[in-house]
Parts: sequence; C-alpha cells; structure tokens
Amino acid sequence: MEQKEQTKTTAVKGTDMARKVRGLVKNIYRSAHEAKAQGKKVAYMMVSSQYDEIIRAMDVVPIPTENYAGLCAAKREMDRFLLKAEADGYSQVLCSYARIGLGFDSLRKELGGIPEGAPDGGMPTPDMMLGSSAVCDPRYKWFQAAGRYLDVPTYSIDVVWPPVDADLKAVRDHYIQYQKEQFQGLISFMEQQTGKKLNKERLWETIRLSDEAWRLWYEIDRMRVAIPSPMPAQDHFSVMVAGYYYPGMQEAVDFYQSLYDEVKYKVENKIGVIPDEKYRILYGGGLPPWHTLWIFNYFESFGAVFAIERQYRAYDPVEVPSSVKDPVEFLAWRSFLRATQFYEKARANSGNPTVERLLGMIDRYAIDGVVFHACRSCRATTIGQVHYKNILGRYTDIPMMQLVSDMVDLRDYSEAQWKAQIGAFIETLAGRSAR
Amino acid sequence: MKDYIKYYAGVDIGSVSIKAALVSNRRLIATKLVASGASYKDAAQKVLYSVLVQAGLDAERLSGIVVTGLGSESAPFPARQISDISCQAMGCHYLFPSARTVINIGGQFTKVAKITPQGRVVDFLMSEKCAAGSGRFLQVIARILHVTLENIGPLSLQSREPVEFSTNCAVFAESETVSRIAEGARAEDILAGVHRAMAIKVAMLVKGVKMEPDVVLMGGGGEDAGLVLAIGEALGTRILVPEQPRVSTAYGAACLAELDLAL
Ligand code: SF4
Repeated sequence: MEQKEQTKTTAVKGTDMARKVRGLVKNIYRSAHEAKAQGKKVAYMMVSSQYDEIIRAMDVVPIPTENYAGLCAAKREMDRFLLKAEADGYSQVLCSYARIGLGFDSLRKELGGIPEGAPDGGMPTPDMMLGSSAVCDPRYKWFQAAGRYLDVPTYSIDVVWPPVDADLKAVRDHYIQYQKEQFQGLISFMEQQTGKKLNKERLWETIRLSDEAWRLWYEIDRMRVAIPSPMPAQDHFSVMVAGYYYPGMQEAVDFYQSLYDEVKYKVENKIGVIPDEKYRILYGGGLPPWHTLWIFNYFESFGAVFAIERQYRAYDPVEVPSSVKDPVEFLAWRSFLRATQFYEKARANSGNPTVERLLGMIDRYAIDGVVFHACRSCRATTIGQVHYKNILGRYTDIPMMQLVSDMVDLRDYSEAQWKAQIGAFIETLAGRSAR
Repeated sequence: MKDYIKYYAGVDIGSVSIKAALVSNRRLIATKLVASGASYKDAAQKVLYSVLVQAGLDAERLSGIVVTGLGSESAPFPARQISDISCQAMGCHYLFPSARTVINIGGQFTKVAKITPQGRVVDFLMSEKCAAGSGRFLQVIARILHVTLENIGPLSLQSREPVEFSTNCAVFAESETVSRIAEGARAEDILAGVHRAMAIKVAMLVKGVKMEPDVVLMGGGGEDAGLVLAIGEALGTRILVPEQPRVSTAYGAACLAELDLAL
C-alpha cells in the first residue's frame, strides 16, 4: 500500500458543478446583506425543518446558521467563535455548530459589528430567528440562547414523526394535523413580523420548485450506481447546498439540471472520479469532517471512492395524495411521508429504517465497505452509528469503520489516528478481494 | 549456501519506541528496541542497523523491508508501508496460529483486531484520542507513585483491595490518585485499580469486534502482568502474550515483507 503526501485542507471535487457551489454559498450571505440593506426581512433558520418553502413564499431571506458554522470550519476560521462561546460559558460538549453561531453573535455584539475577516462577510443581524425541533434539541434551543446577544423575536416549531412501530394508519391524521398547526403558527408569526399575508399561490410555486429540485437530485443519485463512480460523496457534500439552502428557488432546479446532465454524460462515457476504482465506499452517516475534507481524496489515493452517502438528502421523493388542496396541509403531509418512508421495509426486515436505507445502498451501489463519522458534539447524527453497524453486520460481512472527530472542532481530530485507521481499513478491503 | 538465505526486516516506528525485527522464513533472528526520541529517522536507522549487525549482515542482504507505526512516513530508507493493525495481525498469526482476536496496547493507542485463520484483518477498532485507553495512562500514574514501569505489573499483582476509580479519564484519574494517596491507599491497590479501569476500556473495544478466542495481547501492555490479568478477568478468557510483546508488530511487518502480499 503506497501512501501519498497530503497538504490540502479541502477536497478535490469530481464534477464541474460541485466546483461551482462556492458561488452559491457566497451568494447566501451576500443576498442576506443586500436584503438587509434594502429593508427586507432576513431570518436565521435551521435547514431540513420542512418550512423552507414558507420562508421563501413570505419573501424572507434565510440565513442558515448551521451552514455558516460549516463554512467557518472549511475556511479554518472557527476557533475564535468556538472559544468565544466557551468563554461565555457554553460547554465543549454542546453542538459545535451552535457554539460557532453563538460565539459569532457574541463577538458581533461585543465588537458592535461583524468580526473582521469573518468568512463570506459574516452573517448580518437577523430580524427574526426560526428554530425547529427537527433532528435535534440544539436546533430548538440555539436561537433561544442567542437571545442573549440579539434583541429579535424567536419562533421555534415542532417537527414530529411517529416511532417505527406505530400503526401509521391510526396515527397519520393526528400527526399531519399537529404538523399543520405548527406551520400555521409559524405563518402567523411571520405575517406579524413582516406585516404581509402569506400568498398561497406563491407557496404552491415554491413547493413546486423545491420538489422539482429534489426530484432531479434524487435522479442524480440514482445514476451514481454506475461503475466507475461518476460523482463522489465529497461532491454531494457540496451540491447539497442547492437542495438545502435554495429550496423553492429556480436556482436549485437549474443547478441540479446541469449536474444531472454532467453526471449523465460521465456515466455514458464511463468517466470515473479516479482512473483506477478498486473499492466503492458508503459514507454511512455522521456530518462530514468539514475541517478535513481532503480525507476523501486520501481514500481515493488508495483506489477507494465514496460512491454514495446517507448524510443529507435524507429522503426520496414522496407522493402526497392529489386530494390535498391546501399548500400548508401539503407540507404537513409531505413531512409525514418523508419521515416514514422506510418504516414498512424496516418492520418487515431489520426493524430499523436507517439500517434499511443503508442495506439498500450497499446492494444497489455495489458497496465494498462502510465508513461512519462520529462527530463528538453532534449527538443527532452520531448516536446509533455503532448500533447500525452491529445490525448491518447481521446482513453483510463487508468491512465497516467508524472515524471519530467532530464536524467542525479540530481539537477532536487526530490525523495520525485517522491515517492509521484508514490504512488498516484499506488493507482489510484488499484482503477481502484477495481471499 | 548461506548466501541463498533471504532476510527481511520490519520496522515499527511508534510514538514511544521504535522497534526492528529481522526474520528469515518467518524465524525471528534479531530484534532491537530504542526510545523514539526527537528524531524518528535516526532512531529507525539505528534499530535497522542494529538487527543487521546482530545477524552479521550487510544492508544489501535484505530482500525486503516493511515499515509500520504512526511514524512510518518518516522512514529514512526505502520500504513498503503497511498499517500496524495488519502487521500486528500477521505477527500474532505466526506466533499463535490459533489467535482470532489480537489486542495491542501501545504508548498512544490501543488497537483491537479480529483476524482470520490466515492472519488477515476482518474488523478492527482503535481507542479514541484519549490517554485512558493507552499505555500513557499507566505512565502517568506510575510517575505519581514513583514506581518504575517494570515494577507496575508485579506490584499490582500483590493488591488485595484494588481502588475503584470514579472516572475513566486519565487527567481526572491523576488527581484522583493524588487524593487516594492522601487517604492512605497503597500503591499496589492504586495500580490494580488503574489496571481494572483500563481493562474495562480495552474490553469494550474487544467486545466491539465480537471477540473470539484465542485472544493475544501484544505491545507494551503485554509486559505488564497486572494489566494482562485484569484484561483476562474483564473478558473472562485466557490471554496469550508473546515472549517479546513490544516487538511483535515489527515481527509481523518483517513477515509481511517476506510474504509480499497484495495489501
Ligand atoms: S447537534 Fe447536530 S444536527 Fe443538531 S444542530 Fe448541531 S450539528 Fe446540527
């Protein structure tokens, strides 16, 4: 096994479109600053909260605070924000995204303006903060805590899904009704803040654009079953910007259409990410190590490509009944169907929806090994990994490995340990093919 | 006739010590271990030279070298790099063909691997970036107790009432040790307590790869009889230890050089 020297901190991308994502990211913060200057409302928000289309339809410009934390890490500009939050009393075990966000807000308050050199011009002061319970508790509590530094109103919604063994027919209507009420509460709050009524036609339009973007994205991922792999996981962690930060916008549709064309071309012409693809890896979960994305290229230097991933694009398209005529109700239905889409399979097999998704990927994408990334401060995406690995072990004997660090906090990362683990993992893969 | 014999070397560049092993037909001919010191390059060169001198060989007589360990990238001579987990697995396989689980407790990390009857790695786990899972933990405690590393094991075996540590963290255990000394706890009981705390951590890793006997313990940890006993108790199984546990990974590296397997 030969090792090559690595000096970069970011990953080399496989597709041209992934290289264009940087512009989309810059534009998130530029648009927010421009909106502020024009007197438009801007809002801190949490991605994947099922309410994106409402924000766009209300003409409020979103600032995804989690993305900003990831951006700071990719630029290795996170330390002063992390340390500031810790100096303010936030524990090192609190989500590091939240620590960066809170540290940024604290520093901005202390300095009376955006900290100098903050990546992409920093986040402007929001007019409101929209939290949510989807995924984890920090996403509900973070903005409430930010109230210490920002004198702006906060509204957090509950995003719910039933347990896997629930009788879906019995609980469905209740869940959908509850979710709808949560969205309605949010809409009333936003109407109050903006002084404008929600235009339902406009909401339908944002839903249509959003669903179209996600459909294209799904089709792109389906093409990634091709051998050699046309698009690696590190590209996915870039291109997800369009799906998560531009839903309801024509930009997302256009972006995925171009990416679709590019991936299709690569598949048809058998253009792989690396010339000699030996192993196909599944990124089994955990937020990506934004601080060290070149690690994907390090795997590639041994012929191992991350062909697919479970993190981000958390759901496939779902079919909301055509009898649903109200867009808010549509969002509630869609949220329920997305959350429960692997339940039936899980009940028939392993009992675990995540494991079902992983098993499906291992099979369809001809996977040779699985790598998980445990992020010390993101319980939501880390808890369960060892359990998934154990259950997967009942159905497959492919090698699996868990790397441990954090999504942004470099203090939890050890390059020597990762390289040692990766070396052994690759050798285990090689040993299997030699057997 | 002698000229037709082929020799292979394995060099294990670890954070605490650097080891070399010379083999021919998997037979161990010479070994050398030195402290890593400030220059991995110099120390690696030194151990390699030493095993050659012990065998009365020139460097040209070597048919292959494998380097391994955290510092393997700093090897000052041309050599194939193979991860220490694969090397420890192969070393363990040739030393104990019945081995299916191998534990390596080094200065920096603890590694556990499940291996096939051919010495290939099927699954492995490494301790986290945390001193409590490695030999570092013992070094810290031994320093406070003024006990030399060689005496840790024999002393611990004399314990009748092992101290219970309320933490799994080496930093907190250090201050806890100081408190226990102040309370009058005996050095052997403190050491046995540390061994138990470490054994619980190691056992968690071993269970993570779904332990199968025989279990072999290699690395510096294997020289500590107190730790070997505690791990055996925690796992409820017999633990096999090679004669020179600290050079077993280098020995495995040398065997891999000889096998020239596609890894
Ligand atoms: S804990 Fe994880 S999911 Fe929750 S906000 Fe932090 S990074 Fe996001």
